[in-house]
Amino acid sequence: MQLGSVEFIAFLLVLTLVTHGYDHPAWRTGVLAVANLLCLYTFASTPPQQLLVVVMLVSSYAIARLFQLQHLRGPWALAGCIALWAFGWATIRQPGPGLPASAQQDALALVGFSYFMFKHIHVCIDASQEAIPRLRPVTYFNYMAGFYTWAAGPIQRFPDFANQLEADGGQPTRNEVLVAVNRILNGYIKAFVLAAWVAPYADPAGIYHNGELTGWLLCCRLFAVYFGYYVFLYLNFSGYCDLAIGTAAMLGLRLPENFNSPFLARNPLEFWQRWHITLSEWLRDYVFTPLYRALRTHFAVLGLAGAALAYLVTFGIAGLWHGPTPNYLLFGLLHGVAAAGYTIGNALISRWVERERLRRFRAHFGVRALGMVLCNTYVALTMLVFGWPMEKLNHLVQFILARWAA
Amino acid sequence: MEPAAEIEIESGGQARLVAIIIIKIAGLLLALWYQVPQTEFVYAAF
Repeated sequence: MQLGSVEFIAFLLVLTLVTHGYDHPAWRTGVLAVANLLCLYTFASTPPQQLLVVVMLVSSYAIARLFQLQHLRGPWALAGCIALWAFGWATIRQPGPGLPASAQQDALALVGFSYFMFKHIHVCIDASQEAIPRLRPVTYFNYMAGFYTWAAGPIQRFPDFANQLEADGGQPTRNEVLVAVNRILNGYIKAFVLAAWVAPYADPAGIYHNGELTGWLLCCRLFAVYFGYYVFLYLNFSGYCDLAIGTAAMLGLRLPENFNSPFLARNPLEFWQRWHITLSEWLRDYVFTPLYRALRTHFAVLGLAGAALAYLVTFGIAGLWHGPTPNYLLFGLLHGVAAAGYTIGNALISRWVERERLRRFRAHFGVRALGMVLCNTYVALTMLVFGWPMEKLNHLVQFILARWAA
Repeated sequence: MEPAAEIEIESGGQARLVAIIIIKIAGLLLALWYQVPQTEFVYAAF
């Protein structure tokens, strides 16, 4: 049962009706727990998969409680969690007795392994710093196993989720249900109709064997290929996030937004405040900020280079999060270089140019428009690296050079 | 603002939302009718 299938719609309708049957936090918590269990059972259909999911959930809760009780501090908590999940990931990916390779891959793909990890690290660190006073097992289970966030997130923070689930009067009004239905439909239209429409234009394979494409026609087609994958990814990803946010809203839960018009971003840092916002905030809080603080404390001589290094490491990790391939690492590093370059450039310009003059310059319509064009052009390039294998990109560059020479 | 006026505005807003939802459902069904290929989620991690 996937987000977007007919079975899922039927399941959601029944679940919404049952949730609305009785307005009490315990009822909502119980119904959501049963729904999550049912989804887990559907997704992890074989006993080894089910065992894997149970082990992951129970052990992660036990570890989170340990961090809470022992007050293990930031860097240790982060290092411990990363080591645990790296070990778990490596173990699961290795074909082992009782867990066939296909089952392992299915479980990984469907359970949303990485979202488990992000949520778990957040819970451990925040619990150790007493930012999470209560860690009820059922609430934790619903938080980690929320079926609507498995595929695409967003990464909600535990206190936000627990406050909503355990609060009185959390049932959505009729208007909120209508807004949620509208949001789900937006998701369907983006992810299944518009993304499907854009996809063929984003694939460079379509232009190689078309001899009629010359001059402006070819330029337009190349333009579509260059920006196509970026647009496709936005429609696909934000569409799935709309589905998740709308589904949760039907059950009276508010998920954080993951996108805020990324095409309007004027610089690399603003882009990450608009694209996959919850991951950016997670990386800021648990990777960039501690790393930058540590560099400033122990290597104060680095100055701006410390910030640049912290950006490179953070975005490198963000790239590798998508998968351990050169493409993803390059994608992350390209964003890291852009963020570091922007930060250093900004700091240098601020030293030479008067503040008020700089503010007026930046507020100018032409400058803002140019910023958007440059930012989106650069991001589209990184998305090509993200989306296509190196051989395909190399083929595309060779094709353009050959046509240029001709 | 009087409660009655509030209800009127709210129901008016709801009617508009219902109309938008109906139009979107019709559009989706039309797209399915023309067999627009579905796309898998590609941004999945790992």
